[in-house]
Amino acid sequence: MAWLLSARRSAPLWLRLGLPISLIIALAIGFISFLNYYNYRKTYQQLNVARIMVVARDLRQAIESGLNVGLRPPNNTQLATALTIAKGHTDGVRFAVVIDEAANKLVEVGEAGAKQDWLRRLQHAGEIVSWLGEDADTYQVGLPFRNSFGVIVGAVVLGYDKAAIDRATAAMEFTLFVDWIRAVALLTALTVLGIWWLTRGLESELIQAERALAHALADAPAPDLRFPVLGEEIARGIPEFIVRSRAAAVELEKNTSKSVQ
Amino acid sequence: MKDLQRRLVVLVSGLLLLAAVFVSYRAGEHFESSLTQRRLGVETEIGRSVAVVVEKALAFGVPFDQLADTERFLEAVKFDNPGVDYIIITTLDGRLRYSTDLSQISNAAGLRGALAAWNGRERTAHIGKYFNTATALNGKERQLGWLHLGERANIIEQLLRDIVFDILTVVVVAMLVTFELMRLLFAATFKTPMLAINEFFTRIANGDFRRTLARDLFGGIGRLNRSINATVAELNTRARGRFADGAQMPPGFSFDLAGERGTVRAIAVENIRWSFFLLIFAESLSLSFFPIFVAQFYDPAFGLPLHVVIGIPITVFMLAWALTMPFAGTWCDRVGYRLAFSVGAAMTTIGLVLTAYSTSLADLLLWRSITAVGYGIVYVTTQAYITVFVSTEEGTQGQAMFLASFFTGSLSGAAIGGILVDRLGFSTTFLLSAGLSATAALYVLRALGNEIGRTVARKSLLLADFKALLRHRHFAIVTFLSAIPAKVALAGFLYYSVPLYLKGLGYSQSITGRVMMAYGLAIILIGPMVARLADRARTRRWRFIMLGGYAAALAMMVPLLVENMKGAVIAVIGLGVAHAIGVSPQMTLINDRCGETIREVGQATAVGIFRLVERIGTITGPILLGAMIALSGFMNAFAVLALITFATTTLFALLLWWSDRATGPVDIA
Amino acid sequence: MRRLLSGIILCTLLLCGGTLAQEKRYKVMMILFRGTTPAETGFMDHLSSRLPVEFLVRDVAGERRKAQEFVEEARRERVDLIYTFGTSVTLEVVGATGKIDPAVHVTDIPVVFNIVADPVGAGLAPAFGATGRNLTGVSHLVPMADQLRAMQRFRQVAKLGVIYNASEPNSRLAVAQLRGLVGQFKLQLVEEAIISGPKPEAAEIAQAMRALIAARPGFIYLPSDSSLIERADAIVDLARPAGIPIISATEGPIREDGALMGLVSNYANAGAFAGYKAEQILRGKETVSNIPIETLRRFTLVVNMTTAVQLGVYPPLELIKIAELLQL
Repeated sequence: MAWLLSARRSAPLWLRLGLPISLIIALAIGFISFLNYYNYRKTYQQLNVARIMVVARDLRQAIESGLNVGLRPPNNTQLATALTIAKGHTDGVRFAVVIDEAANKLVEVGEAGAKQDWLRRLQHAGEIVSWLGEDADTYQVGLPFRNSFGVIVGAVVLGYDKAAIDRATAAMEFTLFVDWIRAVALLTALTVLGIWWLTRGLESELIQAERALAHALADAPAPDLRFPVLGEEIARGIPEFIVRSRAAAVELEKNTSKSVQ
Repeated sequence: MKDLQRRLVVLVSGLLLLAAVFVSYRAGEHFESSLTQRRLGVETEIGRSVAVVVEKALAFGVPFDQLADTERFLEAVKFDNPGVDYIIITTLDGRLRYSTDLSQISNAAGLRGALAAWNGRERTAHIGKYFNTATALNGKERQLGWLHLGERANIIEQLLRDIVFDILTVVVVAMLVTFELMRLLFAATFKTPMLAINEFFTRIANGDFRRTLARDLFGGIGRLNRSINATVAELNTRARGRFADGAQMPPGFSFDLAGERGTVRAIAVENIRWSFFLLIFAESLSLSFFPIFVAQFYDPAFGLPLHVVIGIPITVFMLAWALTMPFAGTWCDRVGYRLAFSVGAAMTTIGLVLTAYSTSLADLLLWRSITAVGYGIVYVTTQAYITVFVSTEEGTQGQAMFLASFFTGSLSGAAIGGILVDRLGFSTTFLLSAGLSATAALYVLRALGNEIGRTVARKSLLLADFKALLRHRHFAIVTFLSAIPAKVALAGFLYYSVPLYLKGLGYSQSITGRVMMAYGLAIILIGPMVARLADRARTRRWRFIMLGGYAAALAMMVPLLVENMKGAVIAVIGLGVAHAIGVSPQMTLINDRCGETIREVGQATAVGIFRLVERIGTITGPILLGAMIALSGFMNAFAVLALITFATTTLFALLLWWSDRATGPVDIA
Repeated sequence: MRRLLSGIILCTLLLCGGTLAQEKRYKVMMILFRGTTPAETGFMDHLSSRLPVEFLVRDVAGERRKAQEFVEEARRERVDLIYTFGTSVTLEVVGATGKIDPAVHVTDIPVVFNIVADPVGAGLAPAFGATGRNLTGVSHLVPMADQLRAMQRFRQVAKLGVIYNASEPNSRLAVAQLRGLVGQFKLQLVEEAIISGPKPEAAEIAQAMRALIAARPGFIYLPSDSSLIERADAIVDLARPAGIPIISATEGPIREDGALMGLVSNYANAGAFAGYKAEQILRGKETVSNIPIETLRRFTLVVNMTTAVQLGVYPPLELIKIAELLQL
């Protein structure tokens, strides 16, 4: 009877132990998934940049070779071809643009958005070899080029599709999240199950103890309890408590009968 | 019960590790295909770029077989693109014509064979350990050959290797936090109710039916409380009934006639330990990024260099913390642990919230001071509580437990804080700290009884208190010859010199942070184990302090013998082990031998005074080391410090041994 | 005295009307040798796209003495800068170092020269770099070290032959530079001089070439010497049967006569560079005496692929990537 009551009023032991522990494990693997995701995203973006950079470097070299022979980009037909090929054959490239040092477009293949930070980039170019930028719908790689006496006179900027990349990383984020949920579910189940398994013995001993205590004042003989898990002390203590309580009850009865007399 | 607990710990650790491995492995699987695809995209572009040059030569009439200096060109491309492992140009029928150096390629023969059999249908293929990307090489009229680029197919391996340390850190931290939590849960579920029930049964055996057991919230052994209470309540009701009728009480029994229902509560230090851990964890979240946080308030108009300005809030914190402790001790002795801890934690909470919103350096200093005062109160209260409520037989284990909790919180907090702040930003992280600190306060309010230490409560801290302790022979010996040198080593060697030393060797800050973690881990893992041995040694516990001192001296000599990072790591671990052995027994020894004085002065007060005086080491350590390093370099500074430690330890041992000879060993039952 | 006067007048003008200063058009006189070349186009394009400039273009048309007239005109017109083409014109205008006559030479107006092969040898300055006087400029020649480096990257050779005209300063300059670099490039230099004068006979050239070819050099160097460039086709035809490639200091022989390769610079770029220096002077960013005499920094590697195929001497792929390949 007693154990039924207690089971109704409070959640079982294995749950009480299992849930907090499962929570910590869930947080820990959440963190790990977090770290994994960030690493993935960084690498994904780096690989895209590397790919576009190969193309951009070749374009810059074509521009500078042209300048060497006095061909400015607008007059460099080979360059125009190269830009067209760059946009057409390179995955994801939205535009390939050559600008002068005032960020005016000299040659444009594809369409670059109107608002760009290219002028600021050129003005602060200094000794840099390339910059990474973005606008609303593209990630960009910008490579300044120099004329034959070493002055920066413009840049070639390639812009590639942002949405596709963001979509891919978001999809991975979702996948990892789902994985995390799955792992948490599995591990919570395992944890709780494991704890239940391990505390089975304890649980049954507690039930035994409760049952014995419930009949503490009854007439049934004092139970002989063996508690390998709970331990000797309680195994002895409960019968002693029962004996003592019954003795107290008897004493209380005695007094009553005495006083009545 | 111990058995059960051990099994549960193994279960949980195993599951945690399993979870970490599982999640990372799955992540790797997911990443593989998309990242490999990206990588191949890069290879394709490189291949195209190379093919353009080759085809330019072919277009201008250079025969395929006479492309000049091709190997050098391919090697240059490979050099510029470190991901590429080989570049091979074959004739149309697959014979290798030009290539980069293939001596490092695994199974080059197999590769050649595969390329010879190349059918040209797939642009990319998996060949042995490599991914191979092929581009056609076209002459003026027809295709003349193939260009193959290969990269090792282990991109995921490389990726995970980058963050394996971070993942390990998270796993270690998760384990530490889980163990702390488990300790608490086990205590609340098993140990505490068991103690309460046993004590209750003892009372019952003596006929004392006046008390009840506390209401159980954890569903463990405490479940029995209900049945036990039911029986006792029944008896008490009967007794009240009889008493009302005017009967006499049976001899040898006492009942709760007035209906007071006093409770028997067992005291479990785990409660305060968990709260203490939470608080230290909360405060430590900001450890790794605090200098950067301070730097944003820097204004050259201060007239001081940046690194000095950054040091000011940290110094202020240390100072406030140190000075608070004796006063906090007296106050705690007066008002009790529960109130003291809660107030301290509340102050820390407020301080952290205000820090999140600080707008200037002055602000920051004020809020940090408040936080430090709270910190000091909590620190002293916790250590005093543990000292009082852990039996003398297990005294050292109690102290070790205290230190382990401290370092667990500190280590875990610093590690997690670093990772969090990158994503959440300063303010949010501080607010999170405040939240955790508030939780600690609330938990203590709930879980601790109104225990006041078994010592006389003083009105306020007196100078006489200081004098009383310092004049006590054993207090002075332990403090000046063991505790302070240990703090000098901790602050001067570990916190100050080792980071500088490693930075000078060229290591990054994250690596330095990991090396420092080794100290904390040693304390956490080894401390409790060794403490058990020390407790068993009883009167000869001081030998452990001596051992710890010599071990520390030895550890600090290691960099002179082993160079570089290896030496530093061994030294740090060695120092951790040394302190794990030697620091916990210090407080126990003081308690053992200065018992009278401590009872006069107040337990928490004694702790506070001890900690304050110990700070002399924390303060002088960096200054001393800094001066020595500036004068004669790292190695000499370490040697001198080791020597000082050796000397003080020897003196300590001699004095104690002589004192024991003279008065006979102090017996602690 | 004259400088002081100009200074006072300029200041007064500035004080009187700020707007005058803002709308100021710079006056640049250009003294040419034989008409406008791409160098001038490059110069004028660069300047006019950046500053409001009025060009006064004057041509001595081969008569170097006429430069004096233009100098006087420049003084009268109070031009802000003078551009000169070629060594002889520049010498007329500013004089050699140590032989400056203020009455004749310009000392108070900045002068930027262009297309001067050897400013040092001509005595315009003791060395490349800032001159310390009102002179700066651009030498269009590709530094010999760069040329040899390009040659060695093309094909490592131990022996280099050079045919030159002893009566032409450009030729002598080239040979002197080659001699100075044999140690650095580990070359054995074989020289054959034409000594008959500015218009050598075909027979003499053939004889010199035969002697060179007999020494079996890896390359034969053809300097920037118009007397030889006119005979480039003969020179190349003589070398070809022996399989010896020609490296030319100028583009013409490569493009038109079948020389194999050369590292050449571009007149227009030299002009633009001169314009860049002029711009700095006119804007007041730097004084003319502090602006160094320089060459360009990047050049074009030109390779005649038809010749390459004929000789079986192919450029390395590294160079193919960046070179200007000609197929004729």
